[in-house]
Formats: sequence, C-alpha cells, structure tokens
Amino acid sequence: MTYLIYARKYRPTTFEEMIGQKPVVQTLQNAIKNNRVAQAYIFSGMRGVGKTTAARIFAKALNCQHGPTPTPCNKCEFCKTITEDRSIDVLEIDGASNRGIDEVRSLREGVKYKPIYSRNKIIIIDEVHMLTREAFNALLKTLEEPPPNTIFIFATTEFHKVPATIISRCQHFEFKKISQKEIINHLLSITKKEEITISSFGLNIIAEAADGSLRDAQSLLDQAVAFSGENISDEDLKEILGVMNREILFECSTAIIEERPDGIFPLVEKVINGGYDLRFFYKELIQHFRNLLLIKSVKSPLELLPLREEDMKKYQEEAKKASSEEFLRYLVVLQQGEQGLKFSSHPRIYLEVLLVKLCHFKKVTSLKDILQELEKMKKGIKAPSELKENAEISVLRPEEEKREESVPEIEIQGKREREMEQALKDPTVKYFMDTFKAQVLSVEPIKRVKDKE
Amino acid sequence: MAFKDILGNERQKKILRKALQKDRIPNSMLFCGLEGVGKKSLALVLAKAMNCEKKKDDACEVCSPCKAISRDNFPDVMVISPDGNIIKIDQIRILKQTAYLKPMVGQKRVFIVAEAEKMNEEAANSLLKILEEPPLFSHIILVTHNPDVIKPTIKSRCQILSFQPVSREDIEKILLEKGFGKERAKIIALLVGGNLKKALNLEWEEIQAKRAKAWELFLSLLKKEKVATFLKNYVSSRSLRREELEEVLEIFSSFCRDLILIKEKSDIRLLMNPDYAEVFKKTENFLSLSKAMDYLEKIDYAFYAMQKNLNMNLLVTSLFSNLIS
Repeated sequence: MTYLIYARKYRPTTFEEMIGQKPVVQTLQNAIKNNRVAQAYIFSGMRGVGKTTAARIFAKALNCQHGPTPTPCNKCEFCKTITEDRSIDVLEIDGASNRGIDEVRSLREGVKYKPIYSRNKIIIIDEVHMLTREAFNALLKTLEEPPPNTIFIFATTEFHKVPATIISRCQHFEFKKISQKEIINHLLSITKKEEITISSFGLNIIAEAADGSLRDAQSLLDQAVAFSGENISDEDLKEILGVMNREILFECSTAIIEERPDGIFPLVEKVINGGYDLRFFYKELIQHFRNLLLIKSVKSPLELLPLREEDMKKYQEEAKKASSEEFLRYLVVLQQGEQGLKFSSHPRIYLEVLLVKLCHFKKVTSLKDILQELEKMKKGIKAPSELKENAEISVLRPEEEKREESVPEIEIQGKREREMEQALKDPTVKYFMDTFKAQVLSVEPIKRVKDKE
Repeated sequence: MAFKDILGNERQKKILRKALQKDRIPNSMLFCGLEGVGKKSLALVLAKAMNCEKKKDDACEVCSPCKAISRDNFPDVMVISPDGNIIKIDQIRILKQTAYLKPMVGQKRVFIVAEAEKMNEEAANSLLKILEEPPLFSHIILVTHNPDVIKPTIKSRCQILSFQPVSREDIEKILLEKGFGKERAKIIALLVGGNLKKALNLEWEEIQAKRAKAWELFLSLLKKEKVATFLKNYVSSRSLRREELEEVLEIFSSFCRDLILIKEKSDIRLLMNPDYAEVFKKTENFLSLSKAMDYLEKIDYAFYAMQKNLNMNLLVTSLFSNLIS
C-alpha cells in the first residue's frame, strides 16, 4: 500500500469525526436539518484545525444521495466523488494560485450554469486571503446574489486580509485552537490503530509543541515514527522536538544575573554543539525569564506553571537572585533583540554580544534612581522645577499632584512659568533638562491638554 | 553522490534510509539547518535513491536514472532555485502543473525547492494546497537555512528534518584527511562555524591574506591612523564589489567578537581567530567594550542594508563615519 502521512490518512470524513470545533459543527448540522443553508460561508482559524475538512464534509452533506443530511453516508456515488476530488459540481479552488481577476471571471461564468449532476454546486476557495483586491471585488456581486443551489465556502488562515465587503456577505465561522486534551486523545487513537507505543509524557510534549494545531501534532507523530520506528522513546522525542535542556537555560540566566560575561562564550558554544537552533534557544530563554518573573510576581506559581517539583525549586532559587524589576528589564531587552537575531547575518555573534550586554545590565542606572537623584539636587537648589516634575515625577508621587489641584488653574500656570524660567537659569537643571529633553517633550502635549481642560 | 558521500549528519541519513526501505518517504518535506551542511546534496541523493533501478535505499550511481540526475538531465527531478533574489509564483506554478503529471521515465517525481526562505508571499501561499495533498508519485522537498522565515502554514504541512552543523572536530578530521596541516585544519574549522562546504572550498593563502589585510584596516580604524584607506578601498566611482565588502565586514565582526571575548576574560580556546590571540591582547585597550558592541551593531546594520540594496557608496561612507566617530 502506498504511504500516506497521518494527517491525510486520518482526515475526518464525517462531522462526528471532527476533533474540537463543536460549535461550528453543530451550527452547520442544524442549518442542514432546518433547511437554512446560507449561500456563502467563510471559515477562519489557524493552521491545521479543520477548515478544509469541514468544508469538504459540508459539501458531502449537501450533495449526499440521501438528501441534504447532517450525516453524509460516504458510500454513495456523490460522496465518493467528493472524497476523491473528482466531483464536477464541487470545485475546490486554490485561492493562492488562482488569485487574479481572470480566474474569478471564469469562475463567475461557470457559476451561471446549473449543477450538472448533483443537487448543489459548491465552490470551495481555500487560502482565500491571497486573492487580489480586484479578484475579491469581482466576486462581490455574485456572492451577494448567487444563482440558486450555488454555495460558496471560503477558508483562510488570515481572516484580517479578507475585505469587509466579502465578510458581510458571508456567514463567518471561527475555528478555535484544539485543546491539548483533545489532541492527546486523538493521537492516542492513532497510536492504537497504528500499533505505536509511546508514553503519555511523549504524547504530552507533542501536544504542547503542536500548539493547538491537530495537523502539526500528526506531523510530529509521523516524524517520531520515522525517527525511531514503532517504539517511540521519550529521549528520541525530545531530540526531534528539540526540547531545550533546562540546565543550559539556568546556566545562562545565572551568568546574566551574577554578571559573569566570561561564561557566555562557552555557553553559546555548548548550545551550538548541542545542535540547537540559536533562535530556538533564544525563544526558550525568553520563556525562561518569563517564568522567573512569573514566580517573582505570583504567590502560587504552580497553578500557572506546570513544572516538576525539583524544577520549581530551582526556579524559585534563581528568582531570588534579582528583583522583579530587573527581570522585567532583562525581558524587555531580550524581546527587543528577537527581531534582530532573526535577521542578523551572524546570529551567533549577535547572540553572544546581546547576552554579554545583559550581563552588564545591572550597572545601568534605572530611570527611577536618576529621578531620585534629581529630586535630591532640586532640594539643594531650592527652586522646584515644576516642568520636570510634571514630566516624570507626577507619576511617582500622585499625592503631590492632588495637592496642586486645589489651587486655581491660572495661578498654577503663571507660577509654573515663573518657576520654569528661574529654574532654567541654573546650570545643573539645564544639564538635566538637556539630558531628558526627549522624555520631557513626549509628555508635553498631554500636559497642555490637561491645562486646557 | 550516494549517502556515504555526504559527510556528517548520520542521523538524518539513517532516518531517510529507513524510510526508503519501508517505502515511507513523506511527500512533502522541509530540510532545514545551517548553510553548507549538505541539505541540498542530501535531497538530491534522496531523489536518486527513489528513482534508482538497482538499490532501494541508496543511489547506485551506475543505473541510468542515477547518472542522469547527477548530470541534471533527468526529467522527473526538478530543482527550483531563486530567480534573482526570490522564488516567484510562476516558478511554483510550473512546479504544481508538473507535479500532477505522472513521472515520465522514473518512478517518482521529485521537486527540490532550494533556498525556500526566498519564496515570496504569493509563491509560498500557492504552494500550500499541493504540499497538503500532493499526488502520491510526487515528492516536494523544501530546503532552507532559515526555518524561522518559513510560514507556519507551510511548516505544518511538511515533515521537518533538521540538520546539525558539522561539528568542529568532524570538520577538522575531514580536513586532515584531505591533507591539510594540523594547525591550518584547526583554524579553518574555527573560521567556518560548521559550514563544511565553505571549509572545503577555502583557499588558505587567499583567506590568510584577506584576514591580514582586514586586520590592518581594522587596526587603522581603531587607532584612527591612516583611516582614509578604508574609504579609498571601498568607495570609488568604479562599481563596488559587494562580496568583497561583505567578506571584510564579516572578518571585522569576528575581530570585534574576539576582542569582546578577550576583554571579558573568557576561554581563549573559543576565539574565532585563534592565531590572532597575541595581537588581540596587545590591541585590547584601543577598543572599549561598549565601543566594540557598537561596532558590531553598525556592521550588522550594514549587512542588513546591503540586503536591502541601499546605495553602496553611501553605505560605506556612513559606516565609515560611524566607525571612526
């Protein structure tokens, strides 16, 4: 027998077989039962959740010999031709390849004629978001009032790219991510049929990596079988999925927190020799710092982080080493660097340098400290420079702002201007003004609006 | 070329051979891994093995399909490479049309899309349907060194086979076998960072001369002596050679990185230019840590700008003034 990948072999052929998507399936079935089938549908949702499958089953349900039925028989000639993709009245069009206005024009020509052989003419356009703007617009009239017995079904992963005029003419169904539990159950049934042995831990990490897409999960299982045969060990699976060794992550975060930049270079070397993709490592590192921040800020982190006890302990110890503000700053910098890493021509050097930078991060004074310093200086100078206060400090000390509100607006305005002038004469203030110009400027417009009110 | 001629990546080869024995080669596959580890060559070997008349799990190199594929003369194996800088939708359309036709002479049709990350949005999307349900006699192999750029909708339809960089020891070993000197093999292995193809194609004298020249330039920029040489070399009315500048900048960034490593007192064995260790130590003080990082950032930007086809003369000038300021 020829080999089919699991995603194709186990593609559902009835509504009942579909995993997840209960609301969508039920609505479609009821529509058929009550004879309330709309003329156009649009299915959206992420990859591998069943959009195309649902469209095909729906087509079968409408054209099955046993009347429009919510449970297509899959045995009659009509159902068979649809399954084998050779029905003349069910057109499955690849919207990404046939995307121009010419293709849509010829489609419109075809729609004019009655179905040749079955009850309904059904046009499925997959990847519909790739149609050009002209093509979409050419469809509008037909879509609004299609000839009788013609049904359009669109499927797309990028719903936002479909024009609103199209959407308003269709019934929109959003396909949700499939929950881990459902994925695991489905994988279990496949492994039973295929006589594959795999641990529940293994199924768990596959489901996790699939991130809500059933097709991804099936592909991963396929890869695992290709890799290790019918007996899939956890170790093999970790290798395929590239599950990051937590030791390395901890080593990295420790080096950063303890300011040991010399440790970075051997570490990156280790990551590369371990065969990990640097960008993948980076993603995991972000996740790692996120976990640390989470532990710092949540009282009972176990609910949010399904970790083993010993891992949790390690995390908690690590989290003690720095303040949550520091973790937050690390995270911000890491996230900013992600894009750069993606497009860097030398990802290795980029990563090394970024991590070295992070190691020196504690030496950077925080804005809060600088402001406090400024505050102290101001007291020394005596003349309170209101301008700066408005810019940043008001955020820190709301009670002071409240006190001001009791004074009439105009008076404050005048007072402010005078004080500003005075303060600006002072060289120290001037210096700080120059340094913080950007920040002060950015707050300025808001202040004015406030004053006007 | 047969499986044994591809160096390194034993595991990947094992997987493919096992799949060949069981007739379980997936119809859509994605090969990803660093440049120069042999992804495309392996894809070609796979195409041969699928069409070979004598062996089941390898290429025999004797039968006519094997030979024809080696000569790029086999109608059922098609390699698609970027046209210019991108793979266009028309190329994919041709692929799709032929993929639905039964193989002409061989047993399977094989399509190899090299540098798949260069597919533009339209091309990538138009590939989706056929990747999901290709005819059973057609196999599509996407090859990329940057899987992050590949759309998730494509990835989810493919079986992914990721390749590891060839380890430094392996490269060293292979180079030694090819008759390179010990010291030289070591340095080359460090320089190429897992890219075996590059290691084998390196011209040693040439690369040494280039590095020496680059170091001189770098030093002059650091010391701010005779800085104009850089400009003189790379800005001119003559058309600039982009590859040349890329090479120099690449060497520059490895210098910067090594200087940072030395400044941080990390493990000297990890230097990218181990033969320059002494010189680095001497010049360590010319470049502060933050300056070195800054340099790297500027160089990275220059690479980015070159990809975007900015005016080269302006680019070099601005890079230069950034570096010396």
